[in-house]
Amino acid sequence: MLKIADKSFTSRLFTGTGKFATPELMSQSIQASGSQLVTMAMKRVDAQDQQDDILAPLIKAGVNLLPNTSGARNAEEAIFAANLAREALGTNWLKLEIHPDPKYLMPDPIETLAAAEKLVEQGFVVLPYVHADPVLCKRLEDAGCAAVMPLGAPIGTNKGLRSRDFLEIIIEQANVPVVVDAGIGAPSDAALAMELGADAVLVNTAMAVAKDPVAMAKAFAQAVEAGRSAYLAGLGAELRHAEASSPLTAFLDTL
Amino acid sequence: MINIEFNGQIQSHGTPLNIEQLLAFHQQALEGIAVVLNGNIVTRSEWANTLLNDHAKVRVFRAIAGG
Repeated sequence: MLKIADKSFTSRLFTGTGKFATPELMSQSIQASGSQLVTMAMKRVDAQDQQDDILAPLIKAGVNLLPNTSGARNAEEAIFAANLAREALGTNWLKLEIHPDPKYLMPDPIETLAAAEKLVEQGFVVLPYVHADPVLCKRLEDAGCAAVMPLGAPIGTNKGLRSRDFLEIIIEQANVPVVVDAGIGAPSDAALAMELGADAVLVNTAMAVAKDPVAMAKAFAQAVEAGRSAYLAGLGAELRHAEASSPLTAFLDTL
Repeated sequence: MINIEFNGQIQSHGTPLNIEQLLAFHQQALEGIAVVLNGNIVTRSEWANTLLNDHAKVRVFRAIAGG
C-alpha cells in the first residue's frame, strides 16, 4: 500500500479533474480509474462567472482532494494560493506548481524550492511538481516535502516518459514517494513509469481528451496495476546479445 | 450608504453588512470558496463577525477543475 504523509492509498493512479467535457464525465472517469487522490485548481471568481459544481460529486465519491497552485508565477503567489486552497477545501495537502512560462509550462525550480520550504513550515503536506531533476528532488525531500512529482514530458503533451533516464535516477535516490506527473499520454506510459519503480502516476489530459474517457480511465488503472506488479516481480535484465529461450540441442546434425 | 467592491465590481449597500451577508447578497455557493478582504484571507469562522467598511475590497476564490 502506498503511504504519503498521513494517508494510505490502495490505488497508485492519481487523477486530475481538468479538461473533461462535463462534470458527469469527470466524475464517472474518476470512479472508473479507482483514483483516491484528485487534483483541483483555485480560480478567482469573476462577477459573471457560471462555474460547474465539480466539488460536490468529488466529495460524494469520497476521494481525497489535492489542490494545486496553478497560475502562480513565483513563490509568493504560490504560498498565497496554497493558503486560499487550504481555506476553501479544508485540506493541508498541496500540489505545489509554479510555472511562469505559459508556452511550455516548465516548473521554476528556484521558486518551487523556496515556496516548498515555507509551506512545509506552515504545516502543508507538499507534493511539488518539478522537472525530472534528481538534485532538485533531493533538495525538496530535504526541505520536508511529502513526495516529489517529476514530469515525464511537458504538461498536456501526451509525449510519454521523455525524461526516463532522469526519472530512474530520482526513483533510485528518493526516500519519499515519487509520483510521475505530466506528459503521460497512454496507459503504456503509466505502466512503464510503474515498472521503473515509480510509486504512483498522475494522469489528467490523456483521460480527459480520450474519445471515451471512462474506458480510458479503466485502461490506465489496469496499466498502473500491471506496471506495479511487474516491478515487484522483478524485470529481467537487458542483454546485448541473444540468449536462447529453447535449448539449442544438436539433434538436427544426426539426420 | 456604503460601497463595497465585490470581485471587481462596486456595489452600494444601504445598511452595513458582514462577509456572510455579502456572499448571500451575491448568491455565492459557500462550499469550496475562500474569501479575501483587502488582500488578507478571512477564515470561514470569521465571516459572520467581519463587518465590511466603506470601500472594502472583497474577492472570492473558488475551487475548480484542474490538473
